[in-house]
Amino acid sequence: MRPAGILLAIAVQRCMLDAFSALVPASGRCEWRAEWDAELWQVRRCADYSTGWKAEFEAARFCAGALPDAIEVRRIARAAHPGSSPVHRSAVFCLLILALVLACGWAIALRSPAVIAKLHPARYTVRDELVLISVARAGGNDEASVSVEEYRRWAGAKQEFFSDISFYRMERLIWDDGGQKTALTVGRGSANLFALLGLPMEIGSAKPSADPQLVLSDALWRRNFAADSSILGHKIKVGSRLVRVAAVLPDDCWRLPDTAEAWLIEPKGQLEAGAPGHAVALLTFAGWGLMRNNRVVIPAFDAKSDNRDLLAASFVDRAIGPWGAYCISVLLALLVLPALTSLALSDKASAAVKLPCTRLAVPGLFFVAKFALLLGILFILPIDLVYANSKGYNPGAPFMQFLLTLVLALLGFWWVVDDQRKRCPVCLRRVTHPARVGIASRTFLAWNGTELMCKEGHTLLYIPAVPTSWSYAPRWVYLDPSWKFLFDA
Amino acid sequence: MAQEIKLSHTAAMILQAIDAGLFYGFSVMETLGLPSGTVYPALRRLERDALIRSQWEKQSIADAELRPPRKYYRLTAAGASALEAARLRYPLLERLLPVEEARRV
Repeated sequence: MRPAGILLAIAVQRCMLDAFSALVPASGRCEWRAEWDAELWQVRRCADYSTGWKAEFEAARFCAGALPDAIEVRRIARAAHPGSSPVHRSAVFCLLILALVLACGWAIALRSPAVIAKLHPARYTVRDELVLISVARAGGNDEASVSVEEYRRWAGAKQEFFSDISFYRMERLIWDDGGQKTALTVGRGSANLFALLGLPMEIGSAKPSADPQLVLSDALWRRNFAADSSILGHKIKVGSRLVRVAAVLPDDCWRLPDTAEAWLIEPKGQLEAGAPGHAVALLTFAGWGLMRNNRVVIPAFDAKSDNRDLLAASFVDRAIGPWGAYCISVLLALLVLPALTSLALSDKASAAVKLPCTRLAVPGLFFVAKFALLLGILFILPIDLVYANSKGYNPGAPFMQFLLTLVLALLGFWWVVDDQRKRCPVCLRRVTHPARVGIASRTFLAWNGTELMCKEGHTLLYIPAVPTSWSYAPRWVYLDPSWKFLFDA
Repeated sequence: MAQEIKLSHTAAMILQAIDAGLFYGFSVMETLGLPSGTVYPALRRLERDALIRSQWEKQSIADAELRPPRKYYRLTAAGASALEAARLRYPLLERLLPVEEARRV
């Protein structure tokens, strides 16, 4: 096993012990950690390193035992001091955890170029008039169905419904890099393809030219050319020809069917016959007027085939952006929330208790802070999960983000309300020690539900098992200072 | 009369191991073949019940042997009597880990 591997394994083991030590009460943490460090040293000394990773795995397994030990130490400490209020029940701890999750979410976002790009306005927006042409008989799906001959015929004739048309098809071509041959998926397109689409280039430009031009995808440029911008203008051998590298296309801009690693732009009229491809056209005003549900059927006549009607489908990116998906899902979750849980935080009867205004404002402020942090988390976390590892344009990503945000929002909002309901209005600590009171069969004769208490001795919370006309929401009972002696023990 | 503490078989084995001269966690773990997640929490519970007590080894001894100081566990009087009771309850305990043999480990 290499020294780097051993160092990594030691780091992982130490991280495990560090993480588990957080569970141990602060007063005994150093001693606990020192014992585990000493024991780990012993484990590593006795390990048989001829077995390679197995020895490190055994050491890691040993460290995993620190978790039940830390839990046990914590349990014993808490049993020894039952009066102490655990930190995790406090309002500050709750806000800190939410802030930590939010900070982690943003840290991941800032480290991921894909997420950063998504948070910025889109570099490319498809023009509304652009349509993808397919043969109507093919069902209007994304299959390549247009031949080069058809494209030439349509491009040469005066058209009523579209003003300009371009063509591309996918081919596997060999890139010969001085003896090293690499197979590339190349989109061979007509001279006006990129001009028609209006795609922005990362570097260079792909204007129609008398020579074949190669447009590299961002991924290929970074992978095979180390993102070297001096490659522009150089000639490389693709297929049987030398072609000039003209530009680099950003990853998230190509929205048409089939993705390529590079695009070979042929000079005008030099696209040879071969496999069918895709045609892209610019609709005229007449064609635009016939558009229904983003599609328009264009009647066409073909002497060889009597049924070659065309289907022009818009490929405008109708998917909502990250902000749109976030807003819709949050709004939807807020609308659904009353069906999941009662929004009444406490019984109105408890409002009769006179508390200072400042004291009454604190739970409200805490609720707002919690809600605001949750909204931040709901925005950044699904974006991280969906886009952090995505490469290029993914049409399903906005839906995934919407779905994730919706699920997290439903769970999050439910938790915010439920958590608020179980926090003492005086100290904002979560109430504890639930006790069943009453009998379910006597609900209409006597109160039946769960009683919880604030460990600081401020309040008792009564949650009815079945909402009734006289008790439908959780009710707080404020304890006066005469009760304090019970909780100081 | 002091309340008799009923030990689980694992706890009894660990007490027996400590009595046999295996004074720190890893040696107990190695000899009994129990995972760390069982031995250390059991040691905490035994210490909480005052059946064993722990003591850190002197730094000078650890330094002389070029290793970190160990935390040693010893039986208390209550632990010794609990072990006696456990031996009656689990007769094979002594055969599992004879004191003399363990001292040689």
